[in-house]
Amino acid sequence: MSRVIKFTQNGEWIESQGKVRRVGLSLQNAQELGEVTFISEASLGKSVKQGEPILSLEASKAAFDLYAPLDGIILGMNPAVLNNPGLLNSDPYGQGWLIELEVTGGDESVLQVVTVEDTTIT
Amino acid sequence: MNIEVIRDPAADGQTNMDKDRWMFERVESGENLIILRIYAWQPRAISLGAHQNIQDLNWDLINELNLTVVRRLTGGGAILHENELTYSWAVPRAFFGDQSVQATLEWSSQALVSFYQSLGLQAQPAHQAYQNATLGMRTVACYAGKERWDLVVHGRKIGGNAQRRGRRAIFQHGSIPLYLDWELICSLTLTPLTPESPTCLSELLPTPLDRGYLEQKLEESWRRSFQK
Repeated sequence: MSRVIKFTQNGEWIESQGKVRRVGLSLQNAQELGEVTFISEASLGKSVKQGEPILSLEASKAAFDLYAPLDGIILGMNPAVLNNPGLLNSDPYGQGWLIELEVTGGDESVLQVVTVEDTTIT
Repeated sequence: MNIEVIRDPAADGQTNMDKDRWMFERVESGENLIILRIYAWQPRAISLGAHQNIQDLNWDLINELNLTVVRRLTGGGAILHENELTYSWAVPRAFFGDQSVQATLEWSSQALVSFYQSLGLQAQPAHQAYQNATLGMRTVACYAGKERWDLVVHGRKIGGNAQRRGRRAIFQHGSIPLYLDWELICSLTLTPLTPESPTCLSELLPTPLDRGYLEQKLEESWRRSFQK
């Protein structure tokens, strides 16, 4: 089954999952940053603008933020990554997704579209 | 690219962290320059990594010694800032192009190797010095950890560095201890005291060097690296 995943220049990804979109961190970003050791909780129900920080992460030598790839409302967060941040490194496009966003706007043309047949995205 | 150098007098922990944040936010908001800051701490204080758990610390001892605890913008472990050279810099991401975190840490380790060389010391990255050791283990005390691009002199780690990465800016903070009370740091961070301890400039240099001289050498090393 093919998947259409869109990437920001900053390395976030976003993918439609029915009415909501899932957002995560690209494998390239996860590999560059090293083992992710901490993920803060996102504010559920919060409206965010494209490019606004959603949550904070920390890897062994760098702290950084995840930015909203589009305008939207944060509907949910993946509890699995809060318990096991290493999922961002081991399965960034599967179990390592971070938040679910109800998209309300923003400029999708700035996102890079990648179509793949499975989850073997590099 | 223009370099703005700030040589600050010693300040308390919160003032120092506020100024680091101000630097980061200037570049993050779009100012196209490099800001390099060299500073000191008075009174001494502990800084924690951006998301480090405060329960990692020995609060009874912290209260007894009346120490302040602040948070850095950057990742990494706890540092007791006392008798050290501290630097921070904020650089537009464009300066590094598409280089990874590891590549920028390698670049900065080379700048610091050049600083130590200017003092007559041979420093090398931890991954060269500890070829058979496991690197990257998370530790409460920054100086107890060994990361790939940490620096080592005579087999012992010296100093620590970590980054904050924004959309437009990369910020790095680092400490170079002049003196080190490793036993106290271990007590404050509930870290088991091991025979292998980090080192500091006073242990490595045959005679103490003037702080102003050390700051000048550090500034020169960073300037050279930024201008390459």
